[in-house]
Amino acid sequence: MSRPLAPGASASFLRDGLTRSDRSLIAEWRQTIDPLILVSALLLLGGGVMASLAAGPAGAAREQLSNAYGFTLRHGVFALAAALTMMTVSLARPVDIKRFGLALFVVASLLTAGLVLVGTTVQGSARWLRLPMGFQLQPSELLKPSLVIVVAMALAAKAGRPRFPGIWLSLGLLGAGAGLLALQPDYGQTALLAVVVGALLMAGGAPWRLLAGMAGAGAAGLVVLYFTVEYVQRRINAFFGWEGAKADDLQINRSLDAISHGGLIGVGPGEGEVKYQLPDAHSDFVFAVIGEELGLVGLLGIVAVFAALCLGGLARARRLVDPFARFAASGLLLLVGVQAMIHMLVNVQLAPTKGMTLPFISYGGSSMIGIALTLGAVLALTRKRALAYSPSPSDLDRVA
Amino acid sequence: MMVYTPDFDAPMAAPKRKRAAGSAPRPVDFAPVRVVWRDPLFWAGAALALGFAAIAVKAGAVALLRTPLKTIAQAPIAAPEAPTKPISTEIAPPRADLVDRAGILLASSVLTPTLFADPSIVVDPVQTAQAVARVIGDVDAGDLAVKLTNSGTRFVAIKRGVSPRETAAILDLGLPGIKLKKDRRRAYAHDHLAAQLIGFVGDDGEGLDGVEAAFDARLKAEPTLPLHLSIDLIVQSAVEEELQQAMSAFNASGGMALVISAKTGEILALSSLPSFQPSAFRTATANQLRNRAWVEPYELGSVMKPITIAMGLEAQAIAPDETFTLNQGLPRQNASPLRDSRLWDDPVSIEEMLTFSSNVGPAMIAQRLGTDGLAQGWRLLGLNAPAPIALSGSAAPILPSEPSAQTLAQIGYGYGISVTPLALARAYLAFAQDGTIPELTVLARTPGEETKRLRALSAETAARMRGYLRAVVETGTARAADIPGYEVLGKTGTAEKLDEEGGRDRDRNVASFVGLFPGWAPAYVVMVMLDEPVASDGAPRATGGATSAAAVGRIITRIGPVLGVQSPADSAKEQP
Repeated sequence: MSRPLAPGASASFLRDGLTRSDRSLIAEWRQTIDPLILVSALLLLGGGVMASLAAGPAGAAREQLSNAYGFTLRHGVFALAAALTMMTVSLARPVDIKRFGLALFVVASLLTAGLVLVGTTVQGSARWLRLPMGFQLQPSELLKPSLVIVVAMALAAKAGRPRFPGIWLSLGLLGAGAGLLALQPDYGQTALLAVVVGALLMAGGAPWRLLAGMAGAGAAGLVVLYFTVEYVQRRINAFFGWEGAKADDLQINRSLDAISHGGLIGVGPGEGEVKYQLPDAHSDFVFAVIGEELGLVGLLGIVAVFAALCLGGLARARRLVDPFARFAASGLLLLVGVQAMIHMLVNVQLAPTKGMTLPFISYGGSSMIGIALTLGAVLALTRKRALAYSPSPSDLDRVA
Repeated sequence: MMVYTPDFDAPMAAPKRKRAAGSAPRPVDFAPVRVVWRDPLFWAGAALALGFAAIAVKAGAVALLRTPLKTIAQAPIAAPEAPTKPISTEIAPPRADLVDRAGILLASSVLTPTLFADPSIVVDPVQTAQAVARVIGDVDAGDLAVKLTNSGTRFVAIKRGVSPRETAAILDLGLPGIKLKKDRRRAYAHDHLAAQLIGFVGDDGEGLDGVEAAFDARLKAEPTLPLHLSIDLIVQSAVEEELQQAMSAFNASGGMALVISAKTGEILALSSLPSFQPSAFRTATANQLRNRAWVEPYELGSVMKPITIAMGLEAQAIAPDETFTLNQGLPRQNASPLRDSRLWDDPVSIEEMLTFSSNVGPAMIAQRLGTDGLAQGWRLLGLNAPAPIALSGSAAPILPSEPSAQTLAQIGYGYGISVTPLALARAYLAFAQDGTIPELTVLARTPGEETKRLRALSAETAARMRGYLRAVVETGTARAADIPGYEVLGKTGTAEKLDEEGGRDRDRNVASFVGLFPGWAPAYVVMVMLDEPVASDGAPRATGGATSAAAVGRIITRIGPVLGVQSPADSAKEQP
């Protein structure tokens, strides 16, 4: 089931129920879905619910929620919604992904732009859209995957028609999306998007000079931010041990304290103490909370699942024949992978403090739905269809 | 060029791109890149893999190699704006034992678990409180439920010093947010004995009062080395018992008793009643926590007269052999002359005036001394300042700033001046030996340690005063304290408290006696003070002579043998 049926393969199982002869939606889905990506994504969702049992009360205490399990409960609801969303999206055809992605891109851009103009300010950034029933939506979480899909469409169009200005269109899209995020301001998401789109541009055949230019612009932007934005300067100073910034320095040390407190196997579920001193334990520092309660074993487990999801997924995605599917699936997997990497790098103090959620594990409805759409699209695009994948060397050997 | 769109419903087919090497058509440029290292997506994945590997390595290094925090509370406190206080897992630091001068244990630290709740984790406050109350006897479920619901903290102490049985029962419940932490509690071996002097320790192991507070740093710095107090446990318990009995006998509202060594300045016993258990200081009433020995100044009355006389002698305002005519009294402005209640056989010697506690005589002497003379005397006897003691709260005396002639007269017999009993007892130390006052201490002196002494009086004045004070006990107001074999010296005082109109209330007294013994070479000052004693049937007034002098007598009877006081004559007889 894991590999396209080669000619000459035994036809006996074709007669079995729920086999390839079964054309019902569920059977079709089961046969063609990529198990590695699916299982990894579900593991992350489940792990996130477990982690929220530990991180939720700590976050609730810090934000002085009346119910200690307020975050945990909502996390569970969001996780369920995310699983349903992901499954539903995974049923879609690539063309649906294109249509939906484009529509979502338009809506999310408008919402993000609207928010920049009249936004709910949380911690100094206009990121949240107030919805009825007390819900809040962070349109940037929807903007990210939809922008990757639209960029993939542009690059795929160029692959089909070399004269199509896919590269410039992509750059324009990136400029618009990243510009909106930077205006919020959310420099972390801006950088994340730039890195992912940069990789896609390279895959889409952009010249090296363009990438070098982007990297240079990014570096210049960082220098400008360092000298103009006070908290960026504080965090970078704190990371490199330059003078300044006590509070942020402490945040980062608290995350190392949590991990070292956990040791190899952790202090046990619910037994964490350092977690209460972590800011945003339930979102930006959930990796450290897991480190304290489940120890190095838990951390390596998380890293392994993300590696399996993103690296295993990429290995499949880059073999997709259809350029759109290839670019979109790779880009979306990179989006998840780079975001996870930044979160974990910050938590183990290999990068300056940057509030970035750990996909599917951190608390946050918008983020979780955004990741569900992302991985749902990846699942949809990586489904096994006729001619979907270029054969791997072993397939060629078998045919030869 | 066509855009490849897979047909969802197309039948499965073998890949068509099987081709022989060499004859292969140039791959269409949208086809996946075959050579992995030419594929930017491969490198993107490789970069990601590198990042994950770095995270795994760093996480491993931090988890396994970074020095784990011993206690979280030792780490610097979280960002100052942090709204929640982290739970301290730190237990109170080890603390040295307190022992008496003979090495008998007074206070020690024991490890016991503390049961507490973290309300932010408790799921159902009411059910949790009920479950806890079922297994822990002295917990009120309703009370705890309220605390769990309304508390803004992350730490609600439920019970300190939980028993092993209770610990097991609590762990069996497995309630979220109900936790145990190791803790150190201070245990006091002798209940309320010397409570005000020993003091107490807070839940965090911080000494809060008495010796526990004054020597907090020492007790924490050298936790294995017991701190020897100057207290003698046997003397202390005798003193406390006799004070309690005197208080009960005269229905006094409070009392104070102390024994100080005149040779070394060591406080051998000190008691202020009613008192409390230092281990349960939180439940003590304000009245129990009162410290009548060195925190509250009193108008002590006649016990101040020897001070006036000694100052007069010292300043040569009076001559030792001078006599006074007291019957005509001391003229006062806008009032009848001050007279004594008894008729004197004029002229009266200093000894007689003290023996029968004249007010007129000391008033005359005080007026002769004047403001400057009194101030000089107080300075020498240490009555112008708080009693110098290492413990906190020693109160300054209340002295009139610019006394009129009438106030000066009052001061002569101990009114209009308030001092703490400890400060007065310290001044009496000057009479004991050669007129010097030893440095007070609550710690046992090491053998051979020299005691710092301050000269207050000449040796001659001290000797004269001993003669007068012996007469007071032998023939005067303090005969109740005249214990055979000890030749007790001393002076009684019965100070009437001020009533609401500023007059004197005959029924509310402070009755005291300051004694010295043994008479041939006074080595100890013993003082008893009773607050508002009530006359027992038959006796006209609960005077210092009737109440406190008798109590001092009983104390000396009990502690004399303990302290090894023997008259030289007796010692000589024992020698063969």
